[in-house]
Amino acid sequence: MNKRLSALIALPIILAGCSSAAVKPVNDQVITEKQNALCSALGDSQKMKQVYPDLLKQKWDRYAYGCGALYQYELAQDSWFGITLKAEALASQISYLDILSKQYPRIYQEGEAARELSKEWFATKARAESLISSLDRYDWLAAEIPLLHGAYLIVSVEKEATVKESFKVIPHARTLLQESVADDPAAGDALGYLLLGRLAMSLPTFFGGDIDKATDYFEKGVKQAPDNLEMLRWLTEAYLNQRQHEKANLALTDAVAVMARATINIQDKADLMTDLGGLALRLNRQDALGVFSAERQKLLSENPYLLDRKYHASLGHGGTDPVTGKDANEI
Amino acid sequence: MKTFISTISLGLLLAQAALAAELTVKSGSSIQAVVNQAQPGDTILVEPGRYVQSVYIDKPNITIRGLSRDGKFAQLDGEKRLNDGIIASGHGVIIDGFHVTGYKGNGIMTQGANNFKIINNVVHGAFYSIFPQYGKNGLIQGNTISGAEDAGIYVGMSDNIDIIGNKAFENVMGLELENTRFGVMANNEVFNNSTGVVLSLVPGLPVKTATDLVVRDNIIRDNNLKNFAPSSSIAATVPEGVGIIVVGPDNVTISGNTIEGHKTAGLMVSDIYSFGLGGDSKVDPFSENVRILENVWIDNGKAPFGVLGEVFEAADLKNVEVFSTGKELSSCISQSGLNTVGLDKWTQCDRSVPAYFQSALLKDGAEEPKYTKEQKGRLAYLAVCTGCHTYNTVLHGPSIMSIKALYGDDTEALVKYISAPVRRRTDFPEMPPQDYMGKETLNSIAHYILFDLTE
Repeated sequence: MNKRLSALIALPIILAGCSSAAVKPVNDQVITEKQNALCSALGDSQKMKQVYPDLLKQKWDRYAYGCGALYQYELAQDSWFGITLKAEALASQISYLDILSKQYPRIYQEGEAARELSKEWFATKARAESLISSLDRYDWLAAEIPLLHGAYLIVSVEKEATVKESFKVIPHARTLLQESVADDPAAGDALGYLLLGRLAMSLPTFFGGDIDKATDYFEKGVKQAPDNLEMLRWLTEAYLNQRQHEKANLALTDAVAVMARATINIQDKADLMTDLGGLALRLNRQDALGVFSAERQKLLSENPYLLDRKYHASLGHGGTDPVTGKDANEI
Repeated sequence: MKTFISTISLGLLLAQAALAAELTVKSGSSIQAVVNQAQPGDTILVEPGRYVQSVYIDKPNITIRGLSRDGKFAQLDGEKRLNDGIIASGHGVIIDGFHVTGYKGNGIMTQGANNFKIINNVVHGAFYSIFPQYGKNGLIQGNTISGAEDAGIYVGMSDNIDIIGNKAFENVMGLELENTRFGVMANNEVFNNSTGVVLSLVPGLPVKTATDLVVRDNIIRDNNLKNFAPSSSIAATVPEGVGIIVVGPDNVTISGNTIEGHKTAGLMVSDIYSFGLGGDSKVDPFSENVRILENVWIDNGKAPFGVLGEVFEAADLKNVEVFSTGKELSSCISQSGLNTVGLDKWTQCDRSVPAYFQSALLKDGAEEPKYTKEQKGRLAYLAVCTGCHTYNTVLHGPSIMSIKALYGDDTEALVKYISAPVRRRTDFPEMPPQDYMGKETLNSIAHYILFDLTE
């Protein structure tokens, strides 16, 4: 179906972002006031159709991507039987939730920015759920539909969710993903294996987490999609965390080779270069680190609008090292 | 000849001793003024009284001691207006005997100070009550800390730190070692916090490791306080009702503690992903070599609540003394007969392996590098400014981006404002004057903000 989905979908975070108090949506509408004001093509089908594909490339610009996802949603809702359009619109809402989740800061945020983020989060969820309710009846048609549904469930509890909500959706998400990979393991560039692997890596063992299973899923994923750079990133990390250094090194070497021909979104690529660079450091692979670092610097200098994901200090915490002046998160 | 040389040596010693002065701050007068006069090696005695001040020490080997007399103390009071009580970046600083209350940010903080001692203080409130960061070889002993909205004693990104004989209660976290290497927590009493002790490796920070940490011979009891951290801070996600939490560090030894009365669990060991702290591939997410030796466990896990309570309910877990997310490598536990979850891959500890080191302090002390103007600017910015300002969002004051846009390259104008702020916008609280830091430090901060700090 579409390879856009395969890039960097967020994973359930069991405790961070969670509280035990019930979380009420700030806005149960599918569009926020700010988006209503910002997304000027709303209501004009021709215009929306014309502009949304380009907007959906702009993962570095939350507002641009948000308008693109909204336009695609509106067009999908207007299309009575457009299963493909609805599925692609759902994929865009999922990607947008991932973009929004990265906007939540590490340490502390309150005020208008936080409130706006929360509104967008719930509005996007409302759109996704509306699309799912029209698509679910067709899950027998294509493996991508349970795949998207499972992916949505996972990202939907990334933020603004209680622990109860997280624990409720995870088994259902896992079942949907397993159905999808049983039907078509290559769907969405082996996204099912990627998400199953990340679930297995991030959950406690008493809730189905299992690092050996995670490795197995990533290995299967690489077989289905050998050019999936993100899969190789996670396979490398899985091997590294199991202290299988030889295999980790091989996976990292494959990642270097794949990197040159990877045709993923440039924001995703810049982010992956940081991740892969970190793994290269842990493996003491200066050769690979040099390659990823050079590619990242090239991307950032040729595309200065890309987000460099710098973590700024707040409350006496984080940011660059004050003694060295260096940003330790850069590669 | 030998006698002559000895006389010279003795003379030099006596000369140095004579050079180290003892300065006194009269009750209610400016502590900073005396700090500014002091020379390295001096002792500053602060008379009992109330001091509504912030104090900044950036010269080495200063001892600042709050005196007590007839039940009265040297009390630093921020009146819930001022952000920081005492901030020190001078090596060899000793902060002793103060009562510190009413500060919004940090009660006592050291930034980049090596060979420090924070001893015998009583600190109440603030976001972090005692917060040494980027330090090497430090002792935190004999303090009483309460009411912190994050951690009572919060050691960040430091090496060789002893936390000994303190009392921590009614904080969100009692004691914390974060991204720290070689640390000992011993003989502390930690009670009535939301969580007692936290050993953590937090991703995304400048220091990427946490290792060789010992928690021994502490009384850790009844830490069941409802988490009262601001809902928008990371501390709000700290689970309640747990005695000790280990998230990510390696080579951890837990021994000889009494762990009692925690409603959720006695001890929790988690990997970074399960704890919700992913996103930094430079950091190893799974702990290695966690050793739980002989401890006394009494009545833990009887009534799980809060965030972990919901996890336990969902997984149908009850009466848990020790709970793990199951991803640790090469970890062990000595005691049998405990109610544990997630320890299937753990082994029995090898008793022939030495239990732990008694102290993490360095016999010969740590080196004391002389900080450049740029380093001082960065240290002071991190310690003071980031309490209210972040780079691109609003915290309590305007964003640094907007400040840069306003001032351009005019450091002088920025220093002038910081020294004596004038409230211009009603949507922000009043900024307290920062002139106590001195012109040189303020110039360094202003230069760093306007020229070096980038997105």
